[in-house]
Formats: sequence, C-alpha cells, structure tokens
Amino acid sequence: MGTLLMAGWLLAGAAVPAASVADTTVELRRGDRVVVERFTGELSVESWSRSSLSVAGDADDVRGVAVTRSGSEVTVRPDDRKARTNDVELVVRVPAWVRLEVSGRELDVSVAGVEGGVAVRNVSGDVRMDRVAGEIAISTVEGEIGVYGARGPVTAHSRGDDVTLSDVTGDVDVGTGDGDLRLENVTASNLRAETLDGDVYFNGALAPSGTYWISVHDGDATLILPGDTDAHVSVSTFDGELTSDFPVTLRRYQGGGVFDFTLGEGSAQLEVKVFDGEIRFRRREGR
Amino acid sequence: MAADGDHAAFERLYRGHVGRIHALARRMVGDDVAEDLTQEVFIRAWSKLGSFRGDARFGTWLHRLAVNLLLTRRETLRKREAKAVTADGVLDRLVAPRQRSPGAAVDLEAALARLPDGARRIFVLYDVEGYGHEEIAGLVGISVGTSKSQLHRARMLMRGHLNG
Amino acid sequence: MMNGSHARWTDQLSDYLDGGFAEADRDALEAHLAECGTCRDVLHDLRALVESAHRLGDVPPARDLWPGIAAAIGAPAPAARPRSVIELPTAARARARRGLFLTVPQLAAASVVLAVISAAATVWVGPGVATTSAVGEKGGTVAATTDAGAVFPAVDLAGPPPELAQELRLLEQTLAAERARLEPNTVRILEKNLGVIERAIDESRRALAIEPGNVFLREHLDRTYREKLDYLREAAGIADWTG
Repeated sequence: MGTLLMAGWLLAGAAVPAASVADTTVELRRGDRVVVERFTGELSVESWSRSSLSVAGDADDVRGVAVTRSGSEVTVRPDDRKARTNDVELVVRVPAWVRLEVSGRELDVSVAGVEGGVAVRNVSGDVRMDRVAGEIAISTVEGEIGVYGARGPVTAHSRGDDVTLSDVTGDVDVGTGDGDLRLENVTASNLRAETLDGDVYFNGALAPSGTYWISVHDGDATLILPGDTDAHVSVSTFDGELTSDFPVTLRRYQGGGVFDFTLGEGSAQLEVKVFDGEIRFRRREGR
Repeated sequence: MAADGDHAAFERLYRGHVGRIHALARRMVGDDVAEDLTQEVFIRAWSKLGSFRGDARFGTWLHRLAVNLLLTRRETLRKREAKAVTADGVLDRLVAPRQRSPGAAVDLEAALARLPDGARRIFVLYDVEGYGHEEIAGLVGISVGTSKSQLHRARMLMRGHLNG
Repeated sequence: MMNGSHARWTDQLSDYLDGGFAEADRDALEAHLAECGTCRDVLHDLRALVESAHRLGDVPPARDLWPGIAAAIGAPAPAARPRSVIELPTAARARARRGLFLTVPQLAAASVVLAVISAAATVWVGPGVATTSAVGEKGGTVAATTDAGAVFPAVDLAGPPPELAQELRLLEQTLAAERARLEPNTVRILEKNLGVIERAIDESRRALAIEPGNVFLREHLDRTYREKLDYLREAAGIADWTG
C-alpha cells in the first residue's frame, strides 16, 4: 500500500489495516521487562490476552523498529540502519503482567491496562495512563500527565504542565513547576503535592494517621473533604487567604502566617504551604 | 498562540527552531549569508502566521517556508558562487554537532560547502532534510529524474571530497 | 575516480540505496555487487555518507538574531537577560496586597487557643510579624529579631543555603557546557522551566528581605533552592539519556 494512502488511513483515524501490522512479535515470559526507548512521535502501549509483544503501525514506521531480547529484558527501539529521525506512530501490545519502561525525547505516550508497573520518562510530550497497576513513575519536563485508574504508588512529575490523578489508590507524589495539580478520588496514606506556579485541587478523603503535604508557591490550594474528616492541619503562608467551610480553631500561631488547627479528632496530618494564594477547605456533601 | 500577535510566543518559537533553520541556510546557501537569511525567514514567518492553520507541526511549516525562501534567493546564490568558500571558513564557525565521530561531521560540512550549487541543494534537501524527490522536483522546478541524477552526482562528489 | 565500465553499475547505486528499484533490476545489480569489490566499496561509502548526512544536527547562529527580528516585526526591544542580582527593598515594609485581618501582636503568644472562627469565615493572613531589621547592602547579611525577642540566624540574602551552593554552581556550569549537545527544543524547554523556578526564588528572596525573621519564608526559600537543585540535576542528566 502506498505511503500516501497509508497516511490517509491514519489521518482518518481508521484502524491501521492488517496489511501494515508488522510480523514483529516476540514471545514473552512472566517476569519480563519491556523497554521502549528512543522513539520520537506517538507511542501507545496496550495490554492484550496473548503472552507475546507485537508492534504495529504504518509500514514504514514498523520497518524502522528493532526488537531484541537480553535475558528477561525485551527492548523495542529504532533500527539505526533503517530508521530516519522522523516521527513515528506505533502501537505496542503486551500482556498485562509485564513491567513497562518507556523513554524518549519528544514523545507522546499512552499506556492502558499494564499492571506490572510502568515507568515513563520524556522531555516533552503528554503522558496518559489508564487502568494501570504496580509502581507507576512518570517524569516529563514539558508535557501533561494524566493517570486515570491506578493501583499502586504513583509518582508523577512534570515541570511545565498539568498533572491529573483520578481514581488512584496508593501513595502519591506529584509535582509540577508551571501547572496545576488535580487529585480526584485519590486514596492515599501518604501524599505529597508540590507546584510552583499553579493550583492544587484535591477532592478525596484523608486516611486515619495518613500524612499529606501540599506546597504551592503562587497559586491556590483547594481541598474538598468529607464532613467527618479527622486531621491536624498546619497552614503556612506569606501572602495568603484562608477560607473554610469547617470551623477553624487556631491552636498555635507562630507569626508570619503559620498556624495550626484541627478537624474532628485530628488523626491524619495535613500540611498546606502557600506562598501567595488562597487556601480553601470545602466540605463535601454526602461521603 | 503566536498567531494572536504575541511577540513573546513568537520569540519562543524562534528560539526553538533557529538552530535548524540556520543550519539549513548555511548548508543550502553558505555561511556568509546564512544569518541574514535566517532572520529573513523568521520575519517572513511572522508576516505569514495568519496562513498557518495549525494543522501541521509549526516546524514543518516553517521549514517549508525557509526552503522556498532560500531557493528563490538567486542573487544571493550567485554572490556566493563568486566568493571562494574555503573549507577553513566553514570550520571557523562550526558548532560541534551531535555525531558519533566528531571529525566526520566537520569533514561533511566542509565537503558540502565545496559542492556546486545545484548538487548541494538536492543533497541537503534529500539526505540532510529528508524531503522526497517528488517534493524536491516541485520546490526546485525540475523533474523527478533530474532530482535523482543530481542527488547521485552530489553523493559521488561528496564521496570524492571525503576520500581525499 | 570511476572508469566507464563501473559507471553503468555505480550510477544505479543511489536509486538502489533509496529503495526505488524494481525487483528485476535489483537482482541484476546485486549479482554484480556480489562479484565486484570496487562497486561494493562505492555502495559502502554512499551508505555511510547518507547515514552521516541523516545525523547532521542543528547549527545555532553565532550571534543572537532575535533583536534584528524583533525590530522588523515591531516587537518591544528585548530586555537584557536578567542577572541574578536582587535589589533589596528599602527598610520600609511593603504592605501586603491583601489586607491584614488578624491582629498579629494579639496572636504572637504561642500555644494558646486563640480564636474560634465560625464556619465560612475568611481569615486573611499577611506579613505580620513585627520585626526590627537592618537591611544590608546587596549581598550582605541581615540579622533580625521578632517582638518576642528570639534571634534568628543571620540570613545571607544573596544566595542559596551554603550546603547547596557548590552543587548548584557546578550543575549550572555543567549545563552551560552541555548546551551544545542538546536539541534546541530541549534547551528552550529547560530554560523556560528554569525561569519559573528562578522567579519563585526571586519572589521568595524579596519576601524574606521584607520579613527576615519569617520561618515559613526561610523554609520556603530553602525548598525552592532544593527544587532548583533537583531540576538542574535532572537537566544535566538529560543530555545523557536522550542521546
């Protein structure tokens, strides 16, 4: 099939025709690690029910891919002899139980259904994960991060874009330089969220005896919590404004905008530090 | 973003793409006029931002604009032909590119500078920048067959220069 | 130089290399290549040349061309690149943009239940610790006391925490040296994000100059310097793993 026709298929959003799916399949074994590195463009990784790895995409893109095994590590990377430095669009399918590691420079990444742990690292490009499990680690300098449905500790850091976690169970460590942090329905015993220029929005619950730490340089911190939250809250701010649906009984005032108060029985520990912005505590109706 | 007339955004685009455009200008036209032409490319890009519909990558659109500008600068090309461009002149201002064997890149740029204009243009567009023969034929105004034979001639000349 | 008899074969090598060959022609050429070392050498050289050409990188201009472009497109004259010299404010304390609601001296006493603020109330907290401070020259150190009489350690308002300063300097030098190895787009991204951190450091330092005794500000500034350190470490590593 000519490349122009192939491009038409991709632009139209149609599924890549079977004729272009590569024969590049490699059998995988339990305990294998799949490493995808050095591509530029768009990469999708999806889980399937087979115990093998396959790479699919435009015929030209797939032709430039090399898959090699070394021990329990299977690597997918550009074939230097054949690949140009062009953008590729690839779909890699793996069994759900693998551990996946992806790195690239300018690379958009989406991962779905991988449950053995996922690590993604790029310089620019958006990263999206759906229904993943295991240790999740994402690092990008300029790119949006979105994790929807995860079981396992999640570490997600961007430098210049938003980070969104939704339906996540496990310890959380998120951060960005210039962007917002959105945490919805996050169940974590330990949470750390830090942004320089941007807002933090947390809508979830605090576990008893959990520790939560939020820091914002220039932006707002909004926490939406159940009415029966038990937490000892410590707020520090230089030029900030606190608004609260909960009654606030100040227990300690250090001067310079540092004070503590207690919600309920005070078993969780919550620290909110905002240099310049608003701090809002809202009570969530229902549970 | 930049299409709204935001100078700051355009500066960011400039910073992100100037290296590539300047390299293209140097290789296509020569080191002595590359800076002037690079400036012209961006000035023209600013004035034509309204025609950038955002349906392709900005870099691709900018690159195409640069190629068109560089190809139509016949006066500049002729001026360049009149000067004796030596290998030393190219090396003096060469910034170390990313190469496995640094020496190879320097030799390559020097050999490139010694090619006749027509051959050099095709070599840069095809082998360095990745355009296809159909595209080159359309841009330069020659047939696909001529593009292919010019490319081969350029490669054989380069091979001759590099092998000493 | 190629003699006539080889030319009929070598003339086909570019087409062959670029994949634009019909099968029948390819068989004939490959049969010849199998027997002819000279033509094989040419093919090898061409392939190496083409691969090297693929990898030629960007070449930034020797001087910054933006001022000329800016002038032509009517952009405001670019400001000189900001240097990391902080102008310390005068001794007069800048007023908080948001009003001060809680009276600070009333709250200065520690570990006492201070107030019950009813639901949906708004508490405004701003720079409120009354301090006496002597703001030094640029780069000087300042000692400050609060009304409660505690003495805070002298703050070097010009620089990062001493334990971070050396590594920060080293990393900045490493990055400057590695710049040429990085893709221009990567450099643009790294510098943009460094700018966000530098602004945060700058704002924190100015705030600390207003309130040298402010513990939160000290910690916040230290944290922001650590953020810069983490970032520079990450940036310095990028040249390695992006290859």
